[in-house]
Amino acid sequence: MQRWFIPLAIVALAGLLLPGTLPPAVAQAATTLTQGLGEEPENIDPQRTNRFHSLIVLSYIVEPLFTLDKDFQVVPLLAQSHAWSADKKTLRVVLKDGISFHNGAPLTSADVKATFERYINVSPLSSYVRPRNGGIVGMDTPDPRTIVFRFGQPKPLAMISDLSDAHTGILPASFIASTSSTDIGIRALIGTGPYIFKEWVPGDRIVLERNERYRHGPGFSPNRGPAHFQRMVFRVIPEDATMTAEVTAGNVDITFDVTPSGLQQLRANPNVTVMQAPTYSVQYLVMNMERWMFQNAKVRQAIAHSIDKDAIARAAWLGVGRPVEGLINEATIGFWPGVRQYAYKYNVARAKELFAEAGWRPGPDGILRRENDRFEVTLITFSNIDQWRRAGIIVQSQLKQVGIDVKVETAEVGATYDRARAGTFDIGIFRNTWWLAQPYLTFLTHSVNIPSSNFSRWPNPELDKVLDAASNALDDAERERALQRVQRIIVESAVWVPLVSNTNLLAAKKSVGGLEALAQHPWWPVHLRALALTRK
Amino acid sequence: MPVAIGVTLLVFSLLHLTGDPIRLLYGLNVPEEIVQQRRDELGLNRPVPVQYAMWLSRAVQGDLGESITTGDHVVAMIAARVGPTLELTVLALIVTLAVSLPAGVVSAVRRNTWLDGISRIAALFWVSMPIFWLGLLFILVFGVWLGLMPISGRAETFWSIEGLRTHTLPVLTLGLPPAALFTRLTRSSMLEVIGEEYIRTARSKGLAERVVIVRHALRNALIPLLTLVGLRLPWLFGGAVITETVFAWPGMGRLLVDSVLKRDYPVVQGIVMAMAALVVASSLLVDLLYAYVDPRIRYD
Repeated sequence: MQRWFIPLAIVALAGLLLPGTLPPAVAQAATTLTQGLGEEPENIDPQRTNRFHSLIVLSYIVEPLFTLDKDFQVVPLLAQSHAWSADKKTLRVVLKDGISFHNGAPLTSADVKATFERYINVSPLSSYVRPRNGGIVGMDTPDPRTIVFRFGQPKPLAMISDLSDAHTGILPASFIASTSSTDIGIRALIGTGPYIFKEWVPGDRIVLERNERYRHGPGFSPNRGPAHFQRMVFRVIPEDATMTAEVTAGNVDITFDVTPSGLQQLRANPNVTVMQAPTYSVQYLVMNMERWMFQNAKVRQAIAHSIDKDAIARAAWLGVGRPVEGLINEATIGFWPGVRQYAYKYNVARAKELFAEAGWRPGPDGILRRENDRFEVTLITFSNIDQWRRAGIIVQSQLKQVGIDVKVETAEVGATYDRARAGTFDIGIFRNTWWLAQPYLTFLTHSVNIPSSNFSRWPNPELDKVLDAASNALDDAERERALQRVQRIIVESAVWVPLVSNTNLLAAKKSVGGLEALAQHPWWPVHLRALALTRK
Repeated sequence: MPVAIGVTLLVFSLLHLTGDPIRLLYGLNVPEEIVQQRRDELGLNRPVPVQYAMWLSRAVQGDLGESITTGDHVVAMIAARVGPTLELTVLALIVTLAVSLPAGVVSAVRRNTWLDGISRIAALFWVSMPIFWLGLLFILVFGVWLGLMPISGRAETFWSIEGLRTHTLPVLTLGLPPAALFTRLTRSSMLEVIGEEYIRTARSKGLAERVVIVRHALRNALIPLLTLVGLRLPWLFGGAVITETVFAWPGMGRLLVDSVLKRDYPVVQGIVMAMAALVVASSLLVDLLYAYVDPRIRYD
């Protein structure tokens, strides 16, 4: 072996093993916030996507006309003021003065109009404001700072469901006209937000640079602009264990994609801060009402009494989930706390009484029987989401205790939903993921949505009527009363049995400051993440 | 060509059996009318044979269509990912050979000694390692506990200290387990060659042992090894899928997994074609190497 080889090998190995050998990395770390993303966005086009991780990233770049404070009240963002007509069919919005896009062009009403036209045409979330649903039938721009929305029908929820949603993030009209749809949100995105889109390396990272001109952050943010960090890097790390390792090692400053399995390790790390906040995602069980055994309300109530939600929260959610009594929870706009009194509490003795009253008696093998029928059901849920798969197994054992033989069949999310829509199941454990009670409760429980999103297959005229009343109410108080009635019917029917609510988790290095400001707002809005976070 | 068409037809058919990608993409929040509108825009409501024919007519012109989930051109998506996968697999193969050739040679030359024993035990150890577990173990030891190596991701430039560092753990994860198999084959192939008469002749001519082993024995032992390289290449691309997921490596393997789960038919189809092309190309390379290693082999 040549004499030079060994010394050269030693030098090369030393160079590889020396961490942080590049001095600029240290300075860059102080001005760069690295966020771990558990899933790569498909694209960050606000009007084409409806995915959560896409929304997280694009919300740093584009902004809607309004946003919501921690009490779900609408606050201006790009808008300065707004006024509804008496019949709630015309909305006049005046834009703030002096706001410009990342390319330097001033924000005008023409840009708002072009964005909403695009939103109505291509967004999967624009149903509420589409013209054929009585939504936006026209938009007028009498001057560069004023836009008038004309609705076909009163749309009182439009402020919350659309105009405060990042999916209506305003893009320049010229950008929309000159950029192909395969480039918007993939190779280019221009907005008014606190960060500017710089680079997307597919599968690896998305890089944003600070918008130095940004000064119009929402009033509830302690910092209204510009952001503290010069650079925001989103690193895509799909494997949970790898994400936990990166946070533990300090290579990722903050992540909102913490899994329950990684939580314990992160909590034990003195260099990491872990925070929790309620989220609107609810895990629930639903019975297929085309199955004859569920037609009897006492059977459904008995099943509801048989389920120990605390056990599911502990064992399936590893202590991160919280038992819930309603199909929506307090993180959802429209939630009624009074629904709790109508929920069925865990009570095995009461469950057995109800089964007996319904004519079901335990057989020699402990399984309930009625005449020649044995109480056997198939439960479907997701195989590729741990909390759902575990919940299925736990519910199986809990129902076994009261004499129901449950066969659990899991499949990945898409296949499970396909099966739910086909109705080839008896009970299913699914999830609710939306922040608005209306229209989401309509998706889940109105008979018009059987079987596309209402898997119960239970047409209930009374429930439909109250859902329609909630949807069409012009008066907030009237809508609130109707939604309370909806939530009560849902829980009392025991067709849907709410189980556990998810929790938002955050893990951050101790050197990341501003988390206290984030904690003031229940769902950690992106504006706070962009503007409040700093390096201690 | 018939094989390629057959593969794409099979994959296309299987993918369409898995269900509706639009409802999966949009979730429950979106009304059926909007889902239907998107299906119409993408032509997903047409009969499957018609969809395949339309896809094939575009594919032969180099247009693999657009992704259902991202909307981006499939060719662009694959082009952005093929480089990192090739880096990973080629470097892993180099590691495999760099470890297995010396180990196999030493094991054969020092047969039944402690060196041979260590080599065989090490081979058994590595062949038993699942890639997923090995990757996480490397991350834990070298990334978290010792803090010596980056844990995941790929540096912006390969030819830099940071570039080489980000490649180290994933390359070792992908390259070490197959080294066991290659070590054993090298050993047995060398043992067979060392017993040949021309080796005895070479020694009797007074050649140094190192020259006899490397220039005469090893070169003849390489032919079955090349065959194994050709057979293992598809496995290497498959192993890259797991490695890329563990190390957040932005390669084609991860894109394939994501696309399968999202039923993104055009992307899956495109990647399958790309991987088939890579396997064919690498098999051709192996065939050409045969001619280099063995002068008796010549192609017309």
